[in-house]
Amino acid sequence: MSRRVAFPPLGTLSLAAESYLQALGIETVAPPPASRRTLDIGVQGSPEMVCIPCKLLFGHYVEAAEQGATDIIMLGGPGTCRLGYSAAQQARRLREWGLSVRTHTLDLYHVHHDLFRLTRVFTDGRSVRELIEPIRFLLDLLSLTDALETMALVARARERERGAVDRALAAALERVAALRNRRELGEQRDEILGLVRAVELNPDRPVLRVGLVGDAFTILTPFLNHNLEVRLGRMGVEVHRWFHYTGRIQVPLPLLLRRDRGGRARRAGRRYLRRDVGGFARSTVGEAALMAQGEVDGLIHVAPFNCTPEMVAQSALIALQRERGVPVLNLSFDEQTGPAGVVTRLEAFVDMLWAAHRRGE
Amino acid sequence: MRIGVPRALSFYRFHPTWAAFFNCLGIELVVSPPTNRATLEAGLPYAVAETCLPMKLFYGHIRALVGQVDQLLVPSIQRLAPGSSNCARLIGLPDLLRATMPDLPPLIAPDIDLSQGLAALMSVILEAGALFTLNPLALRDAVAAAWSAYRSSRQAMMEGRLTPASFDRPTNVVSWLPDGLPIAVVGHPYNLYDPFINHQLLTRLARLGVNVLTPERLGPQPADDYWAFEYELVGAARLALERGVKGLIAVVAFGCGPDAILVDEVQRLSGERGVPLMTLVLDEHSGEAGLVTRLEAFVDMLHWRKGR
Repeated sequence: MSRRVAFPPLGTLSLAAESYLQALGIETVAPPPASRRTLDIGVQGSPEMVCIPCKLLFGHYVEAAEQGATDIIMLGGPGTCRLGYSAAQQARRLREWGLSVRTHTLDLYHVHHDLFRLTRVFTDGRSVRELIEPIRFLLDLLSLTDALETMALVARARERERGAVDRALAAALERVAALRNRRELGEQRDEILGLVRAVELNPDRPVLRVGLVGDAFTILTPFLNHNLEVRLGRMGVEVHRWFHYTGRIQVPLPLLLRRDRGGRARRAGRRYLRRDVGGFARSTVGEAALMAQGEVDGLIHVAPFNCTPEMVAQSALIALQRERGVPVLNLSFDEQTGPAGVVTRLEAFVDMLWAAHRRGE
Repeated sequence: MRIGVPRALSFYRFHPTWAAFFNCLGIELVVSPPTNRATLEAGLPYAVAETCLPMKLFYGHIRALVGQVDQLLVPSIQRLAPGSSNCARLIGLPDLLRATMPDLPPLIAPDIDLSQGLAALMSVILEAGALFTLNPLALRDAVAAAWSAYRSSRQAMMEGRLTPASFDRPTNVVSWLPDGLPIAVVGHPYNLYDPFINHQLLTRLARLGVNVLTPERLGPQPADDYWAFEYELVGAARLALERGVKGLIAVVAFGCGPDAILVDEVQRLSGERGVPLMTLVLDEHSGEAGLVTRLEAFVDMLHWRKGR
């Protein structure tokens, strides 16, 4: 039986992953986007107290198997957080549920290495030279979607017509999904970026800048965070999201030699969190420390309820708040979280930031 | 010099080891008093709301020591084997404390990472020891004393002569009933041996005519688990089931990262053997009455099954 590979729906990453796999000549299955049903399956198949990303991922794996996937790429890897352990548990649960799929774990702590390893598994050991072109295509795709999303996060605050940015972004992403190779991407890149750039903005509208830090999975899944980024944008807030895929996959260099943002963030965060506690905690704190040096008016820390690494990050942010005076709003999400509570807190936080802004703080 | 040790978390695993090390260097360890309501209330303002109860009590024990001691011993326990992991809070413990409490005395915070081999561990010990003595021979003796204390305390706990509750003060070691009902209570020692956190679970079980087997009585901890203290739940449950216990009680704290997943493993093990399992989830809101009712019902049910 031929291989049909599924990647869990994770924003623009899955879009790029699917194009990449197709460029390698591998058949892919796109699981349906996150829905209440996905989450219900996940809740049913997971231990009660694990975090909501774990539960949602399990729901995605089951739905991918239902769509006819033979191979599922799971997110995990030791040292990440509970995902490191639960990926193995989830693979076993899939078999217990009678779903005959092969599972492959993508180690989030060693993305460079695992990208190669998994690619070679799926292409039955194709030579490394033949993989260079598809991998460059993948990196270019991610850099394009990152650029699109970054533009949209800032532009939303100033759009003249409500929803115009989101419509342009959706159209642009549709064009990205249709790209087949790096040549097409090179030809159409400017045109695609132009779709979002062309949205009419109001340059005079006063806006706030808010940094979004915390668990990447929750930040990147509007279904989990009740459309946080869009809501903030429409409240007149430029969102600076800490997590981007570009820069995640890079040449590993010693920290002292790294002049990129990731390296600077690590150095800025050492004062508040020295040890690597797993998950994204150290990057979260580092980015928050960088942003607090005048890049933003306030920070929103996003975490799944009971995420252990992010609880450590949250404590470290207490020190940042104390020393730098930057306001921090903590939001945690689980399957019981409703949109009304999120909106109320966002509105109160934004009001408070405006009040501080007017006082000239 | 007085070094403070909070009676929380790692205290219940490693206190004899630390005490031997520092006593050998002629340094007095001051352990915070046993947990009570005031400990919890002192800790709560410093804790992130969602964190687990053992962590909140840890903060409370630190508050009891601030102002009383010159330094605090707060190690960061990271990995016990290559490819393994530990709870984020236990790894980041010194960082957490520094971030949330600005008025702390200096911390002695070595990074314990056994995956790097013995040489790396020794260099960590030498670094921490250099705060007290520059004499390498004195340090070597202290390390030897600590190692032998670790081994003898493990042995004494396996034989039931010592429990983590009696590390620094004598307590009654519960005697073994000749025809008691054998039950295993699995969980981390700070959840089992702090009577405040679990409403005196072990004493209550003894009063109900139960012989309690706890993880440290069951066997040595294997080093190759994924989570550093996975054995205390899963490994111990497996050993207990092999010994033919009639019931299993898993004690976990609400919001514990590793245990959220490990409880599922314990459930699977007990299900395979058909041994009843009760899971107790601890938080600061759990009342005593609910616990007593559940315990009595569970033990009654086990007696009834035995008689059948």
